[in-house]
Amino acid sequence: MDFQFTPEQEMLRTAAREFAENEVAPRVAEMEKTGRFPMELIKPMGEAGFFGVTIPVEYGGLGLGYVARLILLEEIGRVSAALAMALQVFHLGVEPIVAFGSEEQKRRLLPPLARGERLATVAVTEAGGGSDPSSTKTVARFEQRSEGDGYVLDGRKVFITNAHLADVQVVLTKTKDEPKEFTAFIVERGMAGFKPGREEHKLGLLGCDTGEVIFEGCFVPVANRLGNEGDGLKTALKAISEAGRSGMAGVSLGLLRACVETAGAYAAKREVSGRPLNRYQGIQWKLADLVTDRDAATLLSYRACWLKDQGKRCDVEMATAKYFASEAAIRAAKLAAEVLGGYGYMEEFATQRYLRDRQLMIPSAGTSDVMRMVIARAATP
Amino acid sequence: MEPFTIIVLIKPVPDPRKSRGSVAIDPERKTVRRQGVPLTINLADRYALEAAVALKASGVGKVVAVAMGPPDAEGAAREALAIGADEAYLLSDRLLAGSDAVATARALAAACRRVGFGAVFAGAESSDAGTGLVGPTMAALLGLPHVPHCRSIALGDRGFEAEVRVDGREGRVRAGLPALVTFDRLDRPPKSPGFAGVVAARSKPFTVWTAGDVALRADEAGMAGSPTVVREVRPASTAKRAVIIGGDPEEVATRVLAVLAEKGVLSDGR
Repeated sequence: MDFQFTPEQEMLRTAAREFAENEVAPRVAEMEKTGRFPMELIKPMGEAGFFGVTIPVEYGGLGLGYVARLILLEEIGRVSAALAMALQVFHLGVEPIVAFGSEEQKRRLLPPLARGERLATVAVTEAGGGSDPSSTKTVARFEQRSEGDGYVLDGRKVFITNAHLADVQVVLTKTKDEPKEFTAFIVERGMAGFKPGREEHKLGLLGCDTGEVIFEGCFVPVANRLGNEGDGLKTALKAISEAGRSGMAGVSLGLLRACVETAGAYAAKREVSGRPLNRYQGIQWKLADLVTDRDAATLLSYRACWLKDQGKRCDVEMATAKYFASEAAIRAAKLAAEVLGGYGYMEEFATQRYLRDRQLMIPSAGTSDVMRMVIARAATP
Repeated sequence: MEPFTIIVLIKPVPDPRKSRGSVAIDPERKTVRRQGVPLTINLADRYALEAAVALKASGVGKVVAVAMGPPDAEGAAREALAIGADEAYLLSDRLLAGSDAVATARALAAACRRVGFGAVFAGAESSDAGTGLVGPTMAALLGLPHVPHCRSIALGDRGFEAEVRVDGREGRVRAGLPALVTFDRLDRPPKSPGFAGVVAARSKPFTVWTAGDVALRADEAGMAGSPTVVREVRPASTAKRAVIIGGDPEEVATRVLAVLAEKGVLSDGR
């Protein structure tokens, strides 16, 4: 066994960290204040290859895989969980096209997505259900037209990350009124009848766009159907269970790291009764729990991504990583805020942001309860 | 102007982000310990490298990074490739261990001669030893004009046009080719190479040279070739001291100005 990163992976981490500290950190205050996504970061992130990290080289990406993506999300998330969340969903939007797109779709769609000239998302969740897509109401009706056949989409998706930013959205629909009959489509900005809807106002992850997307008689040509009719569920679930769950594990790892560093630095500096906080056992126990959770989450998450990069089955491992890392982030933000005492609740200190950001680690890409349903299967003989 | 090569000198220094800001001193040699510690590119050298890479848009043919250090320094040389150098050389030999500024300049000058160049760029000062001597010494050894403390540089018809800040004063300097330019650390952070830079570095040539490869003799290199003798190394005192100035506002202002001038904070003499 080898638990070391390669020299190249270390370089990737340094590059991501420099970007996060030099380009992202100065914008966090503005993101917190306005709730707006920092659009000026799109171009440098595109040049840095951050959008194309998992896109194969032949389609203009870097082909670095899931471990590299986890390094990126962890480092960006350490500085801004909101930006890491947006980035992880851009990747999530790309994955179904990489995994199930036709050669024509990959050649046409992936290169601009790799450069960040166009942005992507996945639209699965509806008001009636998220992890259980059986209640999906968005329908796609086949229609023959003189300019070419296609499908007419009607419906509404909610809680879609990057709803207002994404030019390319992989949308899950029902093509037949049968329980498992789903079809996925690639809907592009500019298609008539497709528009973003309401913008959500969230407790945290400010600066990460979340909202509705609306399809009203939206005509999508056959060329934009992803896979065959009836493949939709497989397409969406694979993307969410692999890219989505490892992505949320990455955002959670970033938050965990931030909590350890913030609490650790404060406890070393802040003196009470003439001794720094970290000399008190009560604080040491909190720091120890923070570090242990961070390391356990790190090991589970990198194992899952390593398995994916090796082409091995990783559904349960992705679920354990996502389950543990997101729950650990919940614990960590509480502990870090406690180490800072009253200051931990003040706007000047980052722990109040961690407390607000942490909650979305749980529902995104499947709640802890859904993760446990997946994981429990591993114990079934 | 014909396309020419810029050599950028890269000093591998202990990575302050990975060594918690502390630098260890070798008690025997009384030099900074660089073996077995995480190394990175000296910060000022990154501005030199960025400037050289930016000049590729105005006709510079090739940017070659040249580093000297232990085998561990390969990572720093590869970082230079990620940032945008086209080729990298690492001069690494036991014979070179313990080199002072003069022996280092001699070794690097020999490497530069072997690579061939139209200009040599370097950081003005390193973050570990910080003598600021290697650049100017190399200029003397290679017989080149030296542009010190460069903050930005452009390429005109007749050579470089540089903005410099020497002893707190800003000025413009013009230098024909070939020239040696040393760069200051700037107030802005250096640009991240991104993942794209790291991937691009994979296919770029990286070569390790020994002292023999650049025709250095044993008596010119390392401790043997170093005229500097370090007698003692001790920590500098960094204690803070507060002075309270009282009186009416005008008097206080005059005395504050006098103190600032005395401390060299008001460097233009006002």
